[in-house]
Amino acid sequence: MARFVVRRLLAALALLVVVSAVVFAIFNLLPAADPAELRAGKRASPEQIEEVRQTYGLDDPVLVRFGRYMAGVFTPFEGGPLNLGTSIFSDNEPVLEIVLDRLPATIFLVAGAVVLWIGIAIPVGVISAVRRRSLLDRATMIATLAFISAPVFWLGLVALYLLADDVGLVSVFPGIGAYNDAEGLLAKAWALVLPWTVLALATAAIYARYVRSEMIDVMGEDYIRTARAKGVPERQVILRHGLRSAITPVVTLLGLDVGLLLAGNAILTESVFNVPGVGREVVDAIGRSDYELIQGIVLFGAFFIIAFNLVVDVLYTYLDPRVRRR
Amino acid sequence: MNAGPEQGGGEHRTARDPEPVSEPLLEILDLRVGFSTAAGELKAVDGLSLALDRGQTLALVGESGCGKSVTALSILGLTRYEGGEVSGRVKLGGRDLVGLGEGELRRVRGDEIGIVFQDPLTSLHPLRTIGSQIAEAVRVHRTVGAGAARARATELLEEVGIPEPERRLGAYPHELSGGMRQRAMIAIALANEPRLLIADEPTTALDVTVQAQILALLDRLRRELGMALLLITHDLAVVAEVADEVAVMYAGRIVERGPVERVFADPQHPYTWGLLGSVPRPDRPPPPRLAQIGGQPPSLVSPPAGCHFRPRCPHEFGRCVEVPGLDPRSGDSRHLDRCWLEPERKRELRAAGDGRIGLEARG
Amino acid sequence: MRSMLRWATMAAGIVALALSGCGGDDDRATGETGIPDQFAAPTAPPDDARPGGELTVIAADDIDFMDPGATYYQFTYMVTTAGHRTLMAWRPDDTDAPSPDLAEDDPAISDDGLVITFAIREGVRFSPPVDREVTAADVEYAIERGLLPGVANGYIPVYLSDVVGFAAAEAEASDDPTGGAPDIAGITAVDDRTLRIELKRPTSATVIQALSLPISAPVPEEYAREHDAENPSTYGDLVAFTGPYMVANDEGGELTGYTPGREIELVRNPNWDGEASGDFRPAYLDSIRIAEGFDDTASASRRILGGSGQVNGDISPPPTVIRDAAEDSEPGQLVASPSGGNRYITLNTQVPPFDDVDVRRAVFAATDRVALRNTRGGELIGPVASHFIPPEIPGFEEAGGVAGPDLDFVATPEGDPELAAEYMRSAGFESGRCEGDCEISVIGDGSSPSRETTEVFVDTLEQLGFEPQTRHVDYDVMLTRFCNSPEQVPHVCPSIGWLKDFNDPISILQPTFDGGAISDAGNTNLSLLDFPEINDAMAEAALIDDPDERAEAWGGIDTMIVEQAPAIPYTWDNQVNIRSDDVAGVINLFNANWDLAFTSMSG
Repeated sequence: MARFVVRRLLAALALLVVVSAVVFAIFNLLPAADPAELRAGKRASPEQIEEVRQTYGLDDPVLVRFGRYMAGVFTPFEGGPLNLGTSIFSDNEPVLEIVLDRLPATIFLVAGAVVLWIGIAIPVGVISAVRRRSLLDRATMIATLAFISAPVFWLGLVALYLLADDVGLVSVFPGIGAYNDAEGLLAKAWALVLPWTVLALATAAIYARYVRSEMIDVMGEDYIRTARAKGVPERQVILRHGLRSAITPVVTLLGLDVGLLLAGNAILTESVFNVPGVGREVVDAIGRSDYELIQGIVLFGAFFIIAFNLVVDVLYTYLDPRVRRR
Repeated sequence: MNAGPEQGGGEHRTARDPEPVSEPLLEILDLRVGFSTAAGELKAVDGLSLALDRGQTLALVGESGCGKSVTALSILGLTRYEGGEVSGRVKLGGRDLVGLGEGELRRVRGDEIGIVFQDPLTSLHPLRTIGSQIAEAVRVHRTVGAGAARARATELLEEVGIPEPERRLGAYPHELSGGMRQRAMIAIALANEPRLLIADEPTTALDVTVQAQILALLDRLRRELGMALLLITHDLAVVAEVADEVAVMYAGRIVERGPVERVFADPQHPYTWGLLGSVPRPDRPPPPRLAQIGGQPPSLVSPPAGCHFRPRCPHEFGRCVEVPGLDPRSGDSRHLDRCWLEPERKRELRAAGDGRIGLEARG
Repeated sequence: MRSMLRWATMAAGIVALALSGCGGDDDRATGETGIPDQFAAPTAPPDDARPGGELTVIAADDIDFMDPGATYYQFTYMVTTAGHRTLMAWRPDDTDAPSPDLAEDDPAISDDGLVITFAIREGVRFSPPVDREVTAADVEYAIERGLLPGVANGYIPVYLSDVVGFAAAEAEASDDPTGGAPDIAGITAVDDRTLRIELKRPTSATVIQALSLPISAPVPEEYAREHDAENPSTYGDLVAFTGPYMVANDEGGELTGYTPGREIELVRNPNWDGEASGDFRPAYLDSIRIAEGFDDTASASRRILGGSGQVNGDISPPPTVIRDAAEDSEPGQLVASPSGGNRYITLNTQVPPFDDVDVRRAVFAATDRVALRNTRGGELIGPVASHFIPPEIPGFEEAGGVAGPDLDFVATPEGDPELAAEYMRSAGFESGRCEGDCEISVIGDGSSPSRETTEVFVDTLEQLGFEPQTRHVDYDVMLTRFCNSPEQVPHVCPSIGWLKDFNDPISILQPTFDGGAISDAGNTNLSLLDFPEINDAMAEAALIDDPDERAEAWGGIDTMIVEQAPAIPYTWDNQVNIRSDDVAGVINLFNANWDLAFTSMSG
C-alpha cells in the first residue's frame, strides 16, 4: 500500500512538472498580449517598456525564463520552492500569496457546497431508487433536468433576485458581497447560504440521478438478495449493503469534481456572488492580462486536480478491496 | 459424480430433531408466482405443491427458467422485491409464510431457513469481509456482542471446512477460491442452525472437482444438524446421490414427483425421460437415439393449454390439451405425475434400446 | 489613464442609455453631448449637505496600484484622489484647467515660459505614522521616484520630458533601478515652501496639467526610501496620505485597510484639517468602503440603485438595468457625463492603398458614422463624432463642435457613396472602386460591441471595392501584438479609442497623430501619420500658455488631422454613473466619476 501511494505520488509530481511546462508554454510561446506593454501604460516609450520587461525578467530568452520558473516552483533555488512569480498588477504581490489569500474562500465555498449536495443527493438518490416511479422519483427527475440545463450563472442570478437581502424580491439570505462583509466563521457561513445552494443544486441533481442509477443496479445484485435472505432488515440492506457499494463510484466522481471546483470551476458562482475566491481572481487576472498570476492559478488548479485524483485513487483502494492487490 | 459418501434416505434423522413426524416441515400448497411484464403476466410458478419432511432431502429438478429458483425465493418471500405476486401457501412447521408481514418474515429468513445461492462470487458482498458477512447473519437474529459473533463466525468457517478460519475472517470474497467462497456462503446460511436449508444450484458455478466436495459438505451438515434440505438442481446425477425425494419441474409446474429410486427406476413423464436421457454417462458412448429434448421451453406468459410439455413431446395425443393432474398413476401412491399416457404405454415409449431410458427425438 | 480596457466595459452603460428611450428628444437634450437634463451630472453638493456616514463604492476590479506614482487608471484616480493632495487638482466642475490644491495658488510662470514656480501650502501634514508637515522636497521626491523602473510611472516620460535634466535622470534610474530616485536637475525644492521647475521649452501648460495627476502627491523620502530601493517598489504597501481620507493602517504604516481584490477601507485622515490648510474639498463622509469583486454588473447595479449608501466604482450598469432605472428610480440616481474619450478607426497611412490621402478621404466619405456609433448603442452613447477632440476639452468648439470641420467628406455623417466614388477616381481608380490589389488587413477586438462595429466598417470597405481580410482577436492582443507595433500594424485597426490624460487637447491629439510619437514598441500613433505640417503645428501649439490661443491652435490641428483622414472618428462617449437614493452624489467631470470628497449622505 505504501509503495502504491509513493508510486502514485511520484507520478503525480511528474505530471505536475509536465503541466507546469505546458502552462508556461501556453502563456509564453503562443501569441498573446505583451504584459510589459500593458504594465508600462498606454503612453509608454519603448525604453520604458524595455525597463518594465527587465524589472519583471521578461527580457530573458524563453528557455532561461522557463528554467527560472521551473526552478522557482520546484526547487529551493530562484526563490523557490513554490515561487510562482509576482503579479504584474495588484501592487506586485507574489502570486503564491494572492492564491493562498483567495484559497480559503474557495475551499469554504466548495466544501459547504459538497456537504450540501451530497447531503441532498444521497438520500434523494437512494429513496428514488428504492421507490422507483414514485412522486419523489419523478420530481427529482424533473428537477435534475431543470438544474442541469440551467447555467449556474443564471441560477445564481435568479436566486439573488428572489431571495437576496440586497437585490431580491424577498429579503431572506445575504446577497452579493456579503461574504466579504461578514466577520467570523458563522457569519461567513450564513453569507454563503445562497452560493452554496446554487453551486450544490445542479450538482446535487446530477448526483442524485447518479446515486439512483447506481443504487438501482446494486439493489439488483445477488448479494443484496443474500442480505435479505439472511434476514437483514430492509433499511440496513439498503444502507449497509446497497449504499456501501453504490457510494464507491460516487466517491470517485466526487473527488474529481471537488478537484475541478477547487481548480476554478466555481468561477461563475464566485463571480455572481462576489466570493473572493481563486476563480474570481482568475477572471480579474485575465481581464488585466496578468499572465504571471493566471499561470500561477492554473498551476494551482492543476495541482488540485492531480491531488484529488491521487486522493481518489488511494481512497478507492480502501473503498474497494478488489483493487488493492494490483 | 464420484463422491457422495452416503446416498439419500430417511434413516439419517439425528437426535437433534426429536419431534415426531406428524406433519411435514415444509409444505407448499398450490403456490403461484406471477410477474407482470409488458407482454402480460408471467406465471413463473403455476400451482406448485410439495412437502418436505424434517431431515429429508428433496431435489427440485428442471431446466433453467422452469421456475425452480423462483420457488426457492418464494419460500423466503424474496420474490416480493422483484415484483412477484405470490398466492397459495408455504407452511413452515405449520405456519404460513405467504401471509406474513415483512418484519415477521425477516425473522424467519436466515434463522429458520438458510439459503445457498448458485454463484458465491456475486452472492457475497464484494466490499465486505467474509467475517463481517457471517457475523452479520448471526447478529441479525441473536443479541450477541461483536466478539461472540466473531467467535461464532470462526466456528462456522471451521465447520464448513475452511482452513485457518481465524485468518479468513478478514478476507474479502475475491481473495478466496470458488469452493472456499461457496463454503463461506454455506457458513452464512448455517449461521443460526436453520431447520431448512435451501441450496439453489449450489455447485453449478464451481469446478467439477469442487462440486463433489460441496455436495458432500451439504449432505454431511444436513445430517449433523438435522436439517431438511431443498436442493435445487438441473443435474440428475446430483439428485441420485443425495436426494430422498425428487420433484421434476417443467414450465412452472411439477410434472413428476416421488421417492428418488422410484422416479429413476420408473419415470412416468416424457420430460423426465428426456432429462434422464440427457444425463451424460462418461462410462458409455452416447446412444444415437437419445438426443437432447428438441424444441424450446414454452413462454410462461402464454403457455400452451393443457400439458405444458405438449409442444415438445413426441408422444403427444388428443387428450394432452386437457391439464393432467399431478396424480399417482404408476401404482405407487408416493409417485405422482402429470401425463395422460397409460403406464404400460410409457414403459414402451421410454425404452431406448439396451435397457436404458430416454426420450425419442421428435419428428 | 492606463486602462483602454475600461473602454470595453464602459460601453455597456452607454449603450443602455440609448436603449432607455430617452434619447433623441431634442427638447430635453442639453448641450452637444446629447445628455437629457434628467441625467445631467451634479457637480456641486446640495446646500444642506451634512457631514457623516459611510459610503460604499461597488467595484468589479481592484485598483491597479496603491502607489500614487504608479497609478494610471480612471477608477484608481477616483479612489486615491480622496487620499492625496496634488499640486493642482480638479474641482468637480473644472473642465478647462485644474485648480491649485497643494500649491497655494496657480503657479508663477517666468516671462520666457521656462520656469514654473509653485508655492507649497503650509500646514498640510502626512497621515500617521509620518505625521510631519509636507514640504516642497516631498513633491520633488514624488516626481523623481516616478522614473524608477520599480515605479514606472506611465505618463511623466511624455508630459515632463521637457523638464531640464529629465532624460539624464531617466538614464540614471534605468542603469541603477535600486539605487534610489534619480535627481531631475530641473526640479528643485528651493526651500520647504517653494518648488521650482525648469523647462527646456515653454511647455508649462502641459506640465502644469500633468501635475494635477497623482504623480505630484507628496511622498516622504525618509519613509519611502527603503521600499523604493526594491524593484518593483513596495511603497504601495504603506503609502502616506495628505488628503481628507487615508487607507486604514497600523502603527508601522502598513495598510491594513487594503485587501487587494477585495476591499479598501478609507477613513478620515486625522492630520487633515480641511479649509485651514486650503483644501477646497468638504469631505462630508466619515468613511468610504470600496467593495470589489462585483463581476456581475447587472446585479451590482441593482444593488446600488435599490440599496442604501452606495455608488458605482469601475462598473457601468448594463442596458436592462438602465432602462428600468430611467423609469423606476428617483431622479438623479442615474447620471451621464462626457468621458473625455473618442472612438475611431485607423487607416495605415504608410502603405498602399491608404498612403494616398484621396483613398483615405474616400473611405471617410463612404463611412456611415451614425451606423458605427449605433453599433455601440445609439444617440445617447454620445454624439456622432466628426473630429477627434471630445466635448468639454478645450479645442472642441474651435474644431467645429459636433458638426466638425467644414470638409465635404465630413459633411454627411450617414456616408456619401457618390463623393466617395469621386475621391476614388481622384486617386486614379476610374471605376470609383478599388481595382487591382485591393486586399486590406483588418484586426479588431473580437468582443461585443467592437466586433459589430468592425463588421459594419468592413461592409463599407467592400462597397468601395476593397477585399478586407478580417481577424477578430482579444483586445490586449490586438493592441500589443498588432496595432501598437509599427511593423505589425494592419491596414485597419477598427477598435481604437483614446481617453484623455487630462483636460488638455494635447493629451488627445499628440500621442495619436504626432509623427514624433511613432515608436517601435507601444506605439500610439496607429495610423503612422507623419505629416510634417501637423507635427510642426503640434510642437508649436504645445508651447502656448494662453488658454484661448491654445484651444484655437489645437482645434486647428484637429482640423488639419481630419483633412488628412488618417482615421475615422465616430463617437465621443459619455459615461453613466449610478447611486443609491440616499446618496447626495457629486460627479467630478474631470474623472467622469463620483467625487468621493464632495459626495455626502442625504438619508
